[in-house]
Amino acid sequence: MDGNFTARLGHPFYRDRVLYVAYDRWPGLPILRAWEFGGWRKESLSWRTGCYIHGGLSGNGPISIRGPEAKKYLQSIVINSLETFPIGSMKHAVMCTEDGLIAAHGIVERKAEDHFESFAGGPPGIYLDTAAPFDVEVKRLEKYLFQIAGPTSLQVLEKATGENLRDVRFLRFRDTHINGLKTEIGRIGMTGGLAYELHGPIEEGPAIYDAVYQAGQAFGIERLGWGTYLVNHVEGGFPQHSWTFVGAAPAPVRLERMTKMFVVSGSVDPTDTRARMRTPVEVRWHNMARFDHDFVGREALAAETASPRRTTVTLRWNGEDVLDTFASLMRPGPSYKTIDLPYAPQRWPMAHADHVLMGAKEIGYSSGTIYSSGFREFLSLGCIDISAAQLGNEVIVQWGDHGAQLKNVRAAVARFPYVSGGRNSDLDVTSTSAG
Amino acid sequence: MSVDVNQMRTTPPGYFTVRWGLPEYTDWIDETNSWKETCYIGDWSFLWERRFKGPDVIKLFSDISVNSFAKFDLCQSKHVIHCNGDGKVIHEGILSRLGPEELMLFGRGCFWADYNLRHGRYDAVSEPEDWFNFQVSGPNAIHVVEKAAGQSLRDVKFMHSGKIRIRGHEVLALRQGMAGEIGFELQGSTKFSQEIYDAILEAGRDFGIRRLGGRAVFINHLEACFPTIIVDYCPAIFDDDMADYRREFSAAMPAASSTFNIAGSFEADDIRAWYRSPVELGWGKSVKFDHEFIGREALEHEVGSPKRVIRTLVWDPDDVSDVFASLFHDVTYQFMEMPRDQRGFMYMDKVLRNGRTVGISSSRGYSYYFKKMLSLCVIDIECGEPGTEVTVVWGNPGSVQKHIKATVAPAPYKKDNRRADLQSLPQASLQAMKTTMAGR
Repeated sequence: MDGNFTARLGHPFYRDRVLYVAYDRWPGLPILRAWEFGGWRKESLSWRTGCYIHGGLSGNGPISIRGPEAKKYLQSIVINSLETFPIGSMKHAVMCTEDGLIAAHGIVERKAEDHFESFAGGPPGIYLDTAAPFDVEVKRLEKYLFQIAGPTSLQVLEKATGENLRDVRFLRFRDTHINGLKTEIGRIGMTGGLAYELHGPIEEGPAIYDAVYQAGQAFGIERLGWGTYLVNHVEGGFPQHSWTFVGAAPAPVRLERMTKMFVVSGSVDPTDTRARMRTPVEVRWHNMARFDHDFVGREALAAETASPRRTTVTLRWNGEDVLDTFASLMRPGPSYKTIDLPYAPQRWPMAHADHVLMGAKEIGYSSGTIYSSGFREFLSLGCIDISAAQLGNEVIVQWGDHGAQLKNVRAAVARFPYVSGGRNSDLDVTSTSAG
Repeated sequence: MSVDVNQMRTTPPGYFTVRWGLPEYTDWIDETNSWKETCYIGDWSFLWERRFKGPDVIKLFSDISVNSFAKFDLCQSKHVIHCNGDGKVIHEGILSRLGPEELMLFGRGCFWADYNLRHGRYDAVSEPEDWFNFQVSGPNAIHVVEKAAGQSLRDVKFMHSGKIRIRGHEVLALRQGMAGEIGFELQGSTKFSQEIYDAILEAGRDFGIRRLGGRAVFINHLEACFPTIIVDYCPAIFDDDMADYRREFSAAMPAASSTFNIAGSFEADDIRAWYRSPVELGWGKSVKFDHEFIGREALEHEVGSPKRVIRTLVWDPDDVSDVFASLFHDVTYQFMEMPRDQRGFMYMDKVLRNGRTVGISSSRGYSYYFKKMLSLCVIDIECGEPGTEVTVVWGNPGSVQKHIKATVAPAPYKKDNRRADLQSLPQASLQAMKTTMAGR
């Protein structure tokens, strides 16, 4: 029916009436996303050669936390310390469940002494009710969130704003203007390299998006669709809730929530929630944890930090084995599960887990399967036993759905993050030539 | 000609397949198997409908259609084809006779018929309608619709509609078969479309019904050879004398449906090279010279000495695998989306034999049922013999191209089961159906 793509349009940013692909699983978050613009290959090369603009995280989502006890409240739920958190800076904040699983994570901005804003499913995520005992107002906002990433992103934004932006350091934000509209620029991104975000009221989204896109024409800008957006996380080494793992719900409703809100897939039993969730240690975020304060999940995280079992690596899939899944479609007999391009399975939000074996031994799980146009490789993120995580180790990813035909795909343990260029955190842009 | 073909080689935004709902409901392989094993419900409600009324409605359609109207019973439907003066297809769609002087047209032809009505001298009026169109196709379709309606549909003849009631609402059940299998298209007011959709899904549960998603759509057309506008031919509306109509047509269409984006190795300077005649598309039998119509002269000539025919091409599996293998190489071939293009290109690839272009391939798609990559091909008649070996050139002009071996095969590739005798089919045996499903 017509309503499938005209109604509830989450991101009306594009003048040329882009059509959307929808996954109607998650009430409260935007359900309609632009999947592809110029083509996923072009889009996925953009952050190497030029830059992209991505608007898929816009809409209903950011959470405002404001009030006399805003800091106290936030501190009670995140593993990070908020002691050094100046106004105008951002943190990647992580929130756990009592049993030490990641419940929510995302970028939190400090807007004022008593005011924080949390983006893209960041704490408290869907658990707005956790603020109840505190003197704090927690509410959802409607905002545009545009990600501009790639080597030319700074030039594009300087052209769009007409302003020198070299002072914006990694994880800092401030106000700037585009065509007279105030917008907030922050230096953060999901490619691993130079990247920025723009935030502002949703009504002004179309004007800002168009202005940046136009300014970017001379700098190789591509509009990034959701399909390729997920690719950069895996190349960039950013495990991500709803993509490479599931934000953990409280134990009693864990399975029900996962089944209801996510597309469950992979060779691991679909009722196995643990295989599809992660701890901060498992995704290498435990260095963010500070045990100088009390927070939900502290005890479990402290115990795991003392004796960690698993860690995240990039898995580089064996080409012959990948191609055999395609070839199996064109020969008689059973076929293997198809590998969608550029990410697989082409679903969202996902709760995917494939078994990873070394020899006959179960060593962990794989998720976030992508094809990287830049590297010409199929990659995924493995969460595997530390004892098996040496670079170059050969493992097996069991590709397929539980109970169906499985393909044992050989994979090599590879560097994490997989991109090898300069990290956004280390890049000195003060000397970069202006656009 | 007022169009520059090279400027049409642009990528349309988004996925055109969102018209059918979500990309996948179960998964595309499961959904494409459904019309061979059980059945699907697919949502074609985006289609345009228009009601034509008045003493001259038959004359109007007779003047602008290649089809004969010598016999057109109440509740009968025809696949009507409208051509330009050169005998090339402008639009085609389904025309249903709702009353002695009342017709309903489905598809883009609505705009062309209305345009001719307004510019001609016909004692008739027309008005847009907004109906739902749910295709229920596959061997179990009859059982599902009968169960939902609580009545027998065995007496509904092919290309005729039965009036049925589902959840108290009047629905037309047109017996057709766009998957090349037993099929009904359910039509009625969008006011209660959701109720009908839900009723069919519920009735279909015991019969293994699947919901057809955007990725799987048109694999049915490919297997059953139903060439489709923009996918397999460009509507013949780009000539200068069609400029006035083209303006109206583009204004009436949603932006996403009025773009014409060319892709593939086939090249020409003239957009008319992307036009097709009904004869070339395999619809020659529908062309009847018992009346005057636009394009008659050209088609009389073509029917007398046809140059090209439509066939299926079966692509060589090793060559197709090479395209995927190139994902790992420095030079990668053009991406081969599975099971087919989702972006809405007019994807046309040139087909060679002994180095000479002998045909144009379109609708490249993967059939899991046959485990083969197939396409439709309008090919020179002397190369149309099944078994003939040809080469498809895969890749846009100016980019790296891959020559893919292919074999000419009949079209439709899958046996045509549309007209299966419903009277001789057994009544639904739920137990048997469940057993079949469990064995999958």
